[in-house]
Parts: sequence; C-alpha cells; structure tokens
Amino acid sequence: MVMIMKFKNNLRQIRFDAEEMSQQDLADRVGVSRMTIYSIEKEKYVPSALLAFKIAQIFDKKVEEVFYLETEKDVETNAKKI
Amino acid sequence: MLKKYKKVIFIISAILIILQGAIFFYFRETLVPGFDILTWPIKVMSIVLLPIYILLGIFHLVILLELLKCIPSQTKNPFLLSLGVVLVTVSGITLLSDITILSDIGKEYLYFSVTNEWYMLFGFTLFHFLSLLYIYLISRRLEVEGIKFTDAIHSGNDQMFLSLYQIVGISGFVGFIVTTLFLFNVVDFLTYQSYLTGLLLMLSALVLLPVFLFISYWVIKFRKIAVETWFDELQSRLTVQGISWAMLFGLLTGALGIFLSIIGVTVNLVYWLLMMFFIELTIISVLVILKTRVK
Repeated sequence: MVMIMKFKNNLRQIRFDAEEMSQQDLADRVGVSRMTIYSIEKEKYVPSALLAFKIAQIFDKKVEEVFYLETEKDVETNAKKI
Repeated sequence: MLKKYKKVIFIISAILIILQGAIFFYFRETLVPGFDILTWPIKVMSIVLLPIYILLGIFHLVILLELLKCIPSQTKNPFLLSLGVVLVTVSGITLLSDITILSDIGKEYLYFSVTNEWYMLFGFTLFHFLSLLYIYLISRRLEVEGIKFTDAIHSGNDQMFLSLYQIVGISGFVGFIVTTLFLFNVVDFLTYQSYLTGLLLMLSALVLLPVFLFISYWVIKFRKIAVETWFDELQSRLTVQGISWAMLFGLLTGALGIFLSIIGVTVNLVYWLLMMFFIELTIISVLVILKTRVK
C-alpha cells in the first residue's frame, strides 16, 4: 500500500513569531519573489531543498521545524479534531 | 516624469497628430495623377512633417522608457501598463511605416492609384492618437515610486515577471488574430501570394516587436547579473509548465495538420505555422498569468 503524504509547513506561524516578518521581507532575504513565499505558505508549491534550508536558516530553526510531511492518516485525524 | 508632464506631452502630441492629419488630407486632395508641380505649400508642409515625426518619435521613446520604469512597482492594474508598453512600441515603430508609405506615395501618385496607402496612413495616424490617449488616461493610475527596475531582479520581482508574460500574451493574441485573418482569406487585397506572405511576415515581426524590445531592455539592464537568477525557482517552474502545455498543444495540432493533409485539405504552411506559433505564445502566457496571481 502506498502511503499518501502531504508537504506541510508552519511558515506563517514562524513568520508571525519572528516579529511579524512580512512575506516580501522574507522573500528579499532568501532571494525569491513574494509570490513564491505566498505559494509555499498556501501549500501550492513545494520549495527546493536549498530554499527550504535558506528559509529555516533565516528563522534560526531546523528545516523539519518549518517543513514537515503529513500522512493521509494524520490529515484525517486532524480533520476529525477540527 | 510621465505623471508630471503627462498633460504637456499629450497636448503637444495631440496638436502634432492633428496637424499631421491635416497635412495628409491636404496632400491627398492635391497630389493627384498628372499633377507634377510641387507648389510652395506642398514643399513647406513636407518640411514641417519632418520635425513632427522626430518629436513624435522622441515622445514615444520617452513614454516607453517611463512605462518600463514603472513595471517593478506596479502592483495594481499591471495589465494596463503592459498593454501600454505594447501600444507605444507598435505605435512608435509604425511612425517609420508612415514615412515609408509617404515615400511610396511620392513615387507612385503620378502613375497609380494610392488610395489604399492614404487609408493606411490615416489609420496609423488614428492609431498613434489612440495610443497616446490611452497612455494619458492610464498615467493617473501608474505607480512610479518604489522599486527600481535594476534592483527588482535580485528578488525575482513578481510585477516584472507578470508584465513579461502579459506582453507576450497580448502580442501572441494579436498575432493569432492577424494570422487567422490571413489563413481564412479575409485579407486578400493583394494579387500575388508572395506579397501577401511577405506582408504577414512583416506584420508578425511588428506584433512580436514589443516582446523583443522588452526582453532586450531586460537583458541590457541585467547583463551583469547571472542568468539563472533572472527568475526564481517558482517562476522558472511556471515557465517550464507553460512551455510544456504549449508544446503538447503543438504536437496535437501537428497531428491534426497531418490528418488534414491526408484527407486533402490544403492550407498555406507559412500561415499555419505562424498561427500555431502565436497560439502557443498565448497558451504559455495565459497559463503563467493565471498561476501568478498573488493575493
């Protein structure tokens, strides 16, 4: 059986915790456009490993603290909790 | 600059274009077959036309550069700006066509009917006026403050990326309309097919000119920056996706073309290829624009 996994992130929360850093500010610091940050936050785009590391580094966190994988089972459990 | 001097530029341009139209009207009435004496009013008006064209050419160039400068900071209504860039570029280049047509009229009016040439001249004059009027109307909405074009590239500016594809999209769509008109024989006022093909190639080049100019401006401005940083990773991915879909479309229509030739339907290959090319440009830009929406 193939396990379906979704690429998720806490970027919005982390940005908020970092003195409400704006998308544009983060985009400028990692050298991408605001649209890219927006798409990552909305989980419409999975960033490259390099970009993921850069973003984590900006917030002085490990990559897995910013980005994580969620299995379909987790998704269902989370949905039930909600 | 455009915001500050828009009234002055527009009023002077409007006066010049009206004067130009009046001169053309006088010429059309006066220069008839058999009339080979150049009277002093004709000579004076011919001389007056030269500074008019030079001034209009300078205005077009200034406006185009000002519009390009606005692109990185234009967060609202970027499509209006992209359309402005296309209109000013095409209007500017057709100023040269005006001069060519005038020169043709000067050589041919004694022996041939030049009615079509006059229609083209009046059409272009109206087009210059409408293009400048459009710029005047949108200039209020232009956001000129903010990021400079040269700084924008470092962060893969969304507005520049969007404008590039909007310009490609407008050119692609106009090119598609033009080639369709030729393919379905709507445009067949010329006797020889070779002239008609030449005309379509010239029009296609004209339609693609805004894209070429925008890319050239981009390349010149960013020549010292590594090419791989011109787009960020998402922008590159969207571009590749757009190209992939367009190529798939090209493959399918290629198969359709082979099928049509098998069942005996003949189409002009040059028209067909140009039409496919413009459709593919439109597909690429529409797909990229739809996915580039930033809230």
